[in-house]
Amino acid sequence: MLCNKFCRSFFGTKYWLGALCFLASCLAYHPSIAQESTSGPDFASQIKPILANHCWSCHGPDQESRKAQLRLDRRDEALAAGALVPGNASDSPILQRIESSDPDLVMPPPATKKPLTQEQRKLLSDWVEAGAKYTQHWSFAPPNRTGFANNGLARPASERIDQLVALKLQAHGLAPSEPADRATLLRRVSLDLTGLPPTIQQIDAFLSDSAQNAYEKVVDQLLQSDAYAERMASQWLDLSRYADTNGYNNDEDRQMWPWRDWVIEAYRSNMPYDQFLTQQLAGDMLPNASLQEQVATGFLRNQGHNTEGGIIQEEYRIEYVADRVHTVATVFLGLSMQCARCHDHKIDPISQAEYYQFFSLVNNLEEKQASYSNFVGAEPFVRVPTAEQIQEKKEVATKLDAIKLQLDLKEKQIEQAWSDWIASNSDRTIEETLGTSLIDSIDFEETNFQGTQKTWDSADSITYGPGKQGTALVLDGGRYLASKDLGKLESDRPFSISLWVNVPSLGSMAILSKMDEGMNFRGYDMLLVNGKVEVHLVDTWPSNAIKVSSQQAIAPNQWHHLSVTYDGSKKASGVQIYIDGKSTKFDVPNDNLTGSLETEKPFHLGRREKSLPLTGSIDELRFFQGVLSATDIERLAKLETLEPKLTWVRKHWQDLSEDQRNLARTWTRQKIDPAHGELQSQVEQTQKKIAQIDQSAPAVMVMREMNPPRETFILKRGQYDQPTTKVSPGIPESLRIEGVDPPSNRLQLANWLTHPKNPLTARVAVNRLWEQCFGVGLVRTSEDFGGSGEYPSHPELLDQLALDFIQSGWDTRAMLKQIVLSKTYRQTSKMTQEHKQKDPENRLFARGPRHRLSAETIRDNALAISGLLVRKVGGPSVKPYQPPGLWEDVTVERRGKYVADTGEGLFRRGMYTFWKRTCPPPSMVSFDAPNREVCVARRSRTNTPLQALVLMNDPTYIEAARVFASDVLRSGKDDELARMNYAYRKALAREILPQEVPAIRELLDLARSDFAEDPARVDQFLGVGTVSVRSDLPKLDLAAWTVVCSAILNLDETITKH
Amino acid sequence: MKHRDSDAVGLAPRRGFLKHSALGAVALTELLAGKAPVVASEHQTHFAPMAKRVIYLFQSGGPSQLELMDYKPRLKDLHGSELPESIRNGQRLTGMTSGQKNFPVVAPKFKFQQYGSNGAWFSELLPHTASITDELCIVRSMNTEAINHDPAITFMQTGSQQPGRPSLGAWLSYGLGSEAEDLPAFVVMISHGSGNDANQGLLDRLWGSGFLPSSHQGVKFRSGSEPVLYLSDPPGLRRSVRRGMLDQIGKLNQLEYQRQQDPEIVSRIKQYEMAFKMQMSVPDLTDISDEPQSVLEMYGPEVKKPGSYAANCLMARRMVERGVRFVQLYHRGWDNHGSLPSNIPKQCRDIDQPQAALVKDLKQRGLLDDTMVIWGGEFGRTVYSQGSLQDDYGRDHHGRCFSMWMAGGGFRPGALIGQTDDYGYNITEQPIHIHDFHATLLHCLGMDHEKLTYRYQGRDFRLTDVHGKLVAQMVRNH
Repeated sequence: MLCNKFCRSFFGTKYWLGALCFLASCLAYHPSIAQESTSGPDFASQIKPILANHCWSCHGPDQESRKAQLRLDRRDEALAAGALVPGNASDSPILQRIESSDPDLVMPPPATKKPLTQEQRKLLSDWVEAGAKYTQHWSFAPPNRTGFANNGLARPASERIDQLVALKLQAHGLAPSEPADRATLLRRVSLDLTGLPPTIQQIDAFLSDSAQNAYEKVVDQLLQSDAYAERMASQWLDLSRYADTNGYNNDEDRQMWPWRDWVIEAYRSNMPYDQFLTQQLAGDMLPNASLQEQVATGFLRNQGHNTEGGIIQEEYRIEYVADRVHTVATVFLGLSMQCARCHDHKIDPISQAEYYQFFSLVNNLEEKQASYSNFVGAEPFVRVPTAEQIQEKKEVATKLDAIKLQLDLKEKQIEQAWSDWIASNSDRTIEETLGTSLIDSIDFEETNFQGTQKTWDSADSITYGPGKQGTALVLDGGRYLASKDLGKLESDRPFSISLWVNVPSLGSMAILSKMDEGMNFRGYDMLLVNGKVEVHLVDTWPSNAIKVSSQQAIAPNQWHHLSVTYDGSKKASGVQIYIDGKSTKFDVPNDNLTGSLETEKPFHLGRREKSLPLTGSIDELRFFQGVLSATDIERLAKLETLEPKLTWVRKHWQDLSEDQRNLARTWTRQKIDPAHGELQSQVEQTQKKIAQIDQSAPAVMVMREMNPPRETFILKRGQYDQPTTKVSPGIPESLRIEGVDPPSNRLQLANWLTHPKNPLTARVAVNRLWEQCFGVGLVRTSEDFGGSGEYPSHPELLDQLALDFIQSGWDTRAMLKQIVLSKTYRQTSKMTQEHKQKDPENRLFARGPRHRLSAETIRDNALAISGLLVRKVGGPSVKPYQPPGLWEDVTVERRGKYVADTGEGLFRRGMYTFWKRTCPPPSMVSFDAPNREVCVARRSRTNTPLQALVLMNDPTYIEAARVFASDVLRSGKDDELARMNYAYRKALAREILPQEVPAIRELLDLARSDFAEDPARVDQFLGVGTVSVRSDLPKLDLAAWTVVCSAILNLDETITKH
Repeated sequence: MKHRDSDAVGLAPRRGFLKHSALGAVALTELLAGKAPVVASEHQTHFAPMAKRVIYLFQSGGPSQLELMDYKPRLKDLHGSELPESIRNGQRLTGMTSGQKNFPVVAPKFKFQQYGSNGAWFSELLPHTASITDELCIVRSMNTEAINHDPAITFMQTGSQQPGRPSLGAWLSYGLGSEAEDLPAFVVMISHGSGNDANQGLLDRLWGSGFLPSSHQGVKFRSGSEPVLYLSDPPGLRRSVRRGMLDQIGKLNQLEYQRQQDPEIVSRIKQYEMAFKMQMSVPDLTDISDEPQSVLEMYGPEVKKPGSYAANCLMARRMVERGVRFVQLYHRGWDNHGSLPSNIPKQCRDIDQPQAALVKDLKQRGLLDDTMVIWGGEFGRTVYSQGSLQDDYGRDHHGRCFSMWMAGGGFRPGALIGQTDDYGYNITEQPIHIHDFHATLLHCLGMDHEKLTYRYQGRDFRLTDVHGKLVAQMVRNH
């Protein structure tokens, strides 16, 4: 009752009539409505599509393919060429050619396979008769309110929607429908704005709220919810081709989800659309760009990334840039620019040169090819720590500060500690305590090698031969030695290596290494390359590494002493190479090390981890901490012992050399005052921990401008290796805004897109919002507002909304509110015979929207109805149930393996499901989700048996039905009708209708009697899924009701918004 | 056939194809009783088709033409010599061998022999396939611009090297619809080769629908108890209960239709019925116990091993018999960058007997005339050795020439198309580009490749983009 009263006051026939009368007075000012009563066809909606599809391929903007130098996309040129005679169809050559029966003369030529229909020829003829008027392509002209008399603006925005819709309805002899009942409306608006159904409490609250603005209040609440932000973000993911893997052959995991969370947050805070756009296109270029503003530019990096071994990198880099052009043009301009990649656009005024000018705007990125193994991200990327990581880092940093304080104190007292200790100890104690700086020494003596060894793998098969002293290790290019606990060197620690080597011939070989070749060569090695000594110290090759190469080379077939020292400075200048006891000059091909050499890979003698095997002998290997002096190395090369230490230790501090002081400090820390050393290693470990946290933070690929900018060339036929003319950044001339300079970088591109006079941006955006609510846009081709896209069903309405949107400060929430508050939106969706005849697709909106829910919403809806849905916002993507083996079937070497989450990861909203591009989640794909390789602005909406199989048999839906059933049983209502009503209200926001009761009752009886025959089947059936339900429920009832609830989740009405 | 973007009705078969606008006049009861009037199908071919169905035996990874079908006797003498620059001729190489200093020619290790009335050469690795030479249209002059797996396989399967286009099977589902009441129009099956470690990735897009309505995407059939995802009822739920459930869902949906009058509801009711039928027809399809022993023996010893190439070949025949329009098999493991001589015999053992049996089996059932069988990979392999010359050599990717064969379905039996040079490196006679192959394939199916278009983002897209020409020599009676 309440509902009826409420609705009548808003939808009274009086109001509608009033609106029509008011609008009738505007008719004369209203071009598109007015033209329907004049004689000539409308150029924009009727003629242009014909010309564009049938004529312009050869007589349009594309210069190269233009035939007979005739262009028909411009009136002046068509008239000048004499092709058209306005007002006289029969004298117009093009009409003559169109009507010709001579296959050599008729247009379009039969070979093009694009013949005109009788109806099209008639339209063209009528158009010429009426004067052959051209108008600018509608979407390239700024939106305007000319369709409206001024006083129309005074009305509330949502009423203006109804006025314009009513006007069109009247012209088609249709009337608006009754309002939908309140509960249906609540379910509709909840699903549209949040992607979730209303709860019973929400329904009751709304139905009992008699306030005039009850509906508006509910809308406001919905728009303020987290679920709204998720729903909006979910739609943005198709447009942004967001995924959790790289796509292409290797399809590694990536971590772009902080970008996805940025989108959620942007909607949650109702970020104005102009900022939303600007940050995603150029957040990095904003003054003092924050981390989040950089993350926003992940939008332009969401495309796939190919790491296949043999690819030509520039070829793919060009594809990524082209993808950015395609995405920006589709998402923000509603234009299909990619046609102009190979040649001038055949329909829209976009030349190939202009395409590459636009290309240039998003080409200015030093995008690095990432390697297949251990993919983190293709540079540039930023690390975006999670809230937990930020907290953990904070705690560790606090701890670090405390330890550092203590360490600082020790450091300040280090000279004193040294002097005191020296003074108070005997020579003998000093000698025993400080000993030597030797860390490891391996002599390769056959007799006692087992005794001297560290833990060697494969030591059994060692071969010995004559050495420099005693025997030596002999390697044959196949054997090698590996040890887990030898050779642990770090980039911030000084060390020295000394050894003897004798090789029979020169080539490329590794003497020793501790390196992870699969992880960008992390670690170090010492190589012989054609006799030259080469050393790599690598964090990440080649961006973070030192490489030095001696100028002198050793000769084959004789013993040479080699030594390398390094001072821990992370600079090539801190390295020394000695050959046969003499320091030698070296080249520095690489000198940008800042990171660490640490790797879990073992130390190898005689090869790298996997490559560069050595043939030859190695002897007398020594590792020292600290940098040995030239004198010491000379001694080693003569097989002498090192310079004795104790000759200097009793000197006064001020008399010590800097090297000696450093050694004294090191000894104090490590040997004299172990507590000091302990503090130092604690600091190091804590710093490492911080670095680890930083390194484990998700890597989000972002945009970063190159300086100087990259040059862009027109690419012949779009091919990466066929550059022709150089172009400067810009936009198509046809889209220039008067008085505004064309953009020359990404930030300016964003400014141009969000300029109030840009004719497309606001139209495209509001059209999407309309589509979200009505299932179809005012422009049905929401991805194409160009010459071949569809003409808007309500051009004046689209313009109104676009202008309102701009004037509101690009306020998305306000625009959605305006739409859902309209009476047009609030009509019942029931179809009548008249609708079926006059408007089967509901393009005129004589009834409310009705269409199947999206893949994600179908899932969310079922989980929400059952109560399983976990309402956690954001975070890493999750892995719900998926049939086993799908990833193995398609991944390289079958190494992909899908491991479903346990616990809450199974029950998150669909937008968080892990998206593997080469194998997207099958239940989503069944319901028309794209694979996210390219930007998709509009999903298809199909109706297939595979969808029925998913809803009937996917464990997600069986489990949801079971948990739903347990809720129904526990709802405290013992009689079956009450339970049915409860279940229906949860799923459909309405009570069960009397005529529906027998169906549910029959099913219940059938299931109950069938399960009663065999309790074992009850257990099997109730065993699907992982969530347990209360055991006090009678199992038979639960199983029977699970069948019923599964049926309810399968109803057309359940998966439909109406 | 032209089509603008629009909502599509999924797997609806031709006979029951429901157009929204046509529904108004049809009584619901008639629809549900399956008595819906036949709506003029959109699925009309451009001319009389020679083939109605396709089985595509895709060899993923790039099988070497030099070891299988492109016999090059001079290679024996050239073995170990450097590939002349005049032959390589600035060829774009993959990143895997572009750094190589030497390009030593390597002769295949296997013996070749001539077969059939046209004297086609086959290596000893494919005796069964060789025995059906007279049925085959052999093309040794296929070529592609792509030199890496992802772009090459994407090109072969979608007509474009880059992601985003509909796959071949999706185009056919869109263009020809389905003949089966209770099976998808486009089915995909995957088998894993016995060769070691040479599996490249397969990608969802290879059987995806691109910008076509997603109902045209391929449906994966898998070995095991659930050939189609989510086909099986949950454990403990009996068929009688499922039937009862569907009856009640149907009734409730009917009531909703009476209230709402939306034809989509009628379509939903039909889809649920079809799902129920699929639940019965798929087990019937995959249960091969009704195959006579003689047939099983034809396909070889692995035919009973679920998921093997042999089992998939037999399944492909059973599918086309039941009206599946396009059966896409993938056999993985042909990417022999190394150890080619030890791996390729294993791969050939996997495929040889089953695929020959498939062709013979189709023929003996009278199905070969209107069913085309296609065999081939995404590219061929280089005549030069990857890395230094070794006994167990490898070959890199090679797009300039590779070999394929087709049988039945309008292709000319016994045809030998194209020639390559003495190195098996360049085409010397009648190059067949992928676009040409696609154009010819569509032609055999009764479609003009220039007319099979779909309007998306303002452009009429084709499988063959703006290229492709019919190769008359490949077509029967042309």
